[in-house]
Amino acid sequence: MSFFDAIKKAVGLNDNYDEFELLETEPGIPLDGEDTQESPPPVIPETLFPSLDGNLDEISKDFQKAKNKDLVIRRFKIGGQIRAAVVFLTGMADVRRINDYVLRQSMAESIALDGSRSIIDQLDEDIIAISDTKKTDKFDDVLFAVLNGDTALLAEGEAAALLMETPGFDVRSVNQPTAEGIIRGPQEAFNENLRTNITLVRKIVRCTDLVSEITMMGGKNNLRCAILYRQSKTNDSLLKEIHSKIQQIDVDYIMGEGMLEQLIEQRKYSPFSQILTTERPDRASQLLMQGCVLVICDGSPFVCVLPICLSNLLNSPEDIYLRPLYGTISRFIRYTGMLLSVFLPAIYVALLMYHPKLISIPLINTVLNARRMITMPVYIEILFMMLIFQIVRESGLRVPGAMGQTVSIIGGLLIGQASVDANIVSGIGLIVVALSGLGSYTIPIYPLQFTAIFFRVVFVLAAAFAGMVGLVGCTVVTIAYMASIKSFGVPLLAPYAPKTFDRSRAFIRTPISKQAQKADYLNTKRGNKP
Amino acid sequence: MTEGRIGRREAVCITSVSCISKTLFTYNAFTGINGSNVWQGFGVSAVMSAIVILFAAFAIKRTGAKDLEGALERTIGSVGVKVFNVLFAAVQWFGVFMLLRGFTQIIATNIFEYSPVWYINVLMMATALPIAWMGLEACTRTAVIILPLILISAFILLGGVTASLDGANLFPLGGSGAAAIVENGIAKLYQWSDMLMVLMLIQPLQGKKTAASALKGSFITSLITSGIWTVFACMCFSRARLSNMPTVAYELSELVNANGTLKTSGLALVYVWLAGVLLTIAYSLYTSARQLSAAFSIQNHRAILPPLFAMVVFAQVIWESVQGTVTQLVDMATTWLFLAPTLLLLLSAVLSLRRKTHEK
Repeated sequence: MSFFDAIKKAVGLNDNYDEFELLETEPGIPLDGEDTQESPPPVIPETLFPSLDGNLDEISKDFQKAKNKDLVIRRFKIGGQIRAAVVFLTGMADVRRINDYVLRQSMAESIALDGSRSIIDQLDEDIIAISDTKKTDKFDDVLFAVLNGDTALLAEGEAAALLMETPGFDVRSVNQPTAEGIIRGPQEAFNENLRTNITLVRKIVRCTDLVSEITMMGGKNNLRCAILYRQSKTNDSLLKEIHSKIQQIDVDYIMGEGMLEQLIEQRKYSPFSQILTTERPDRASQLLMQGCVLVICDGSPFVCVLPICLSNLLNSPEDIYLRPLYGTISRFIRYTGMLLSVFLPAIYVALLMYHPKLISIPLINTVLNARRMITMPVYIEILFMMLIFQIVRESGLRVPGAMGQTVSIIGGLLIGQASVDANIVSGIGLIVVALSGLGSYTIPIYPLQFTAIFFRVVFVLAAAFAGMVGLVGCTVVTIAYMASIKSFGVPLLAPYAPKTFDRSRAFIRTPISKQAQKADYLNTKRGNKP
Repeated sequence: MTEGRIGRREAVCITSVSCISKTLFTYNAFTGINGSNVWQGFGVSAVMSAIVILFAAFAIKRTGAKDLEGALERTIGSVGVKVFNVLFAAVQWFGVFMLLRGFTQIIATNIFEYSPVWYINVLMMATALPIAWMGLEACTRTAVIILPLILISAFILLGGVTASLDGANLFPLGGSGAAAIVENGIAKLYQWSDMLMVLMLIQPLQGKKTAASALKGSFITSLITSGIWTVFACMCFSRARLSNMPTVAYELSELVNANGTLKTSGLALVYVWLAGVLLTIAYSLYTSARQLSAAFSIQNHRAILPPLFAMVVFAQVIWESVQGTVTQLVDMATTWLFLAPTLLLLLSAVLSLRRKTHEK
């Protein structure tokens, strides 16, 4: 060994660089480079085989049984004679129910099997005490059922399987709404379980024409969703469009209603939601009764309601529980809050920068005195304070538990006071930003609060660029844009633009007896007029 | 054209917003010709446009066509329709030009004193262009929201100037003679051109009954609002002063401030009108592009919008040097445009008579 080699060895220069670095390899190619081709997707047979072993081998292969310890294949003999097996995923299926109502009953030697019917039919009709069962000969159905927590029973000599609903995974109980809390009205919220959510709607909408279709959405994670509508009322073209949109989804995975919403709405880059997401069964049911369609995703505590118009987004579910006068006052306050939230900072910027003539002399003196020591231009000051406000809000949301509120209050108070004392911002600027921030919280729908924040910034920039001319111009463009948006065929600004007969759901909360019980802009089956 | 459906209310609102804005804020709206009073010219233009619209409606009925373009095609052929479309597009474009010029005067004189006119033009056109781009539904539905604001602000303003009204300013009734009044009326006919759009846009979609109702509604709304405005403006200022006043609406708002009725609110109202003006510019730009795309068989009207936008801004810049010639040309074009449906009616009547004679 040479001197240099000795030094290299001593400092480790010849050591192999063996730290795992995924990004340096080609996508999906293992580090050893043996397999350079992406493996083709497994070919799943269309129908089941008559051979039990053949079916079980195929299932084992599909679920990677050698590595996957979740899959349980329990072999047994029906009545001590015919070979059979149940297949389920441990944790997803209720093992106790399988033991008590499937295995114990099927394995009893006292059961009499007759040759006139197939084994699967006999089990289904005479032996197994599970309420929801389905016979299938499709391999896909077996796999999806097992993935959803159901149990598949296969028997020797039968090219069919019995699927039994045996979900056993833990489900969060029905709790109070967190994002749409109200004082008067029901206090139940959806949870992550599809069946529970459908039940919560059915509890309110006790109509025989309420249909709940359960279908698989696009995406490789096979997430189920339920489409709920009233057959006798909902527009058929609307249903067709919704089905078509859901079937057209082509993505790797869908995690819930948030992703679904973005995948099926028409304008994907729009700052406005074209679908209402709610966690309140009463709100969803109300809209369902009017002719809307609900899409409930498995695993999501929010439900998509479509189509909608802007008034659906702006009105609180509490409005209908209040007396008409108070409901109207509540709406008025909410609308004012929203307008303040969007326009107040922009108007402040425009007036101060371009149109001080429009402000009375005492008020302009007060404002100028407050801004005497401020070196920042007014629009920078406002944008800066808006950013701080959002940071405090965001940190309050992320900090766990009660700490979040403390962070918000302390952060807001300390930073606000310190900024004014340090002459970074003026007291009036702070009031303007705080008022607009508070105004945004009057908006009852969470995604719409982001819309308000977005337009607040846009309008401030427009006002900074061209004063009231810029602000008015930007507002008109925004209104025109809103007028051009449709939520599954329903204009966002309905029932005002275009005008329809039913405006009871918009600004004035008319008495319940005077309200049309369906929204005519949904063009429901029983004609257009209420 | 694959446009969405619009109903009666949208048609009334957009047509009213458009007519009111063109009457109130176009550069020459309050400029008398040969010393004639403006309100007389307004009245003449209203009567003439009503007659022309009625003639056009009767022509459609007589020919059994679906809309005005169809009626024209049956009588004067497809080339005639193309000529009509180009002519109409030019009038709509001229409406954009005049409105922009009128309102730019208000902004350049009173709000952005040190800004060049082209900058304000670009600013306003850049706002109107996206609205025109969004199409008919966006324009008309925005009008449903904006029309009440415009009406409220207009009547607030009129309420604020009542102290300055002087009936003597409406006289002498004859002015400089009937010919001058009629000439003045003809020059203002383009302000009513959007009424004809109802026959082209609404009638094929909603049928004759809705179109007639929309026409009636928009004509009455525009006539009342613009008429009261014009009469009030004439009563507030002398004829001589009015003829040299490019920004009458703003002067009226200043009058409100001077009267002390609404303090500085008069100026704030300008911004409400701005919304109407921007919408009207967008709608006129859209209709102009629509007519041109129909004339040259272009599927997407959006392709024509940017060139029209550029032409408006360019024309604003060179306006001062070519003002006289262009005004004369456009007045003539406007006159011919409104005479076209009249001739059309006569032609269809003659053809119908000949057919009946032939059948006998």
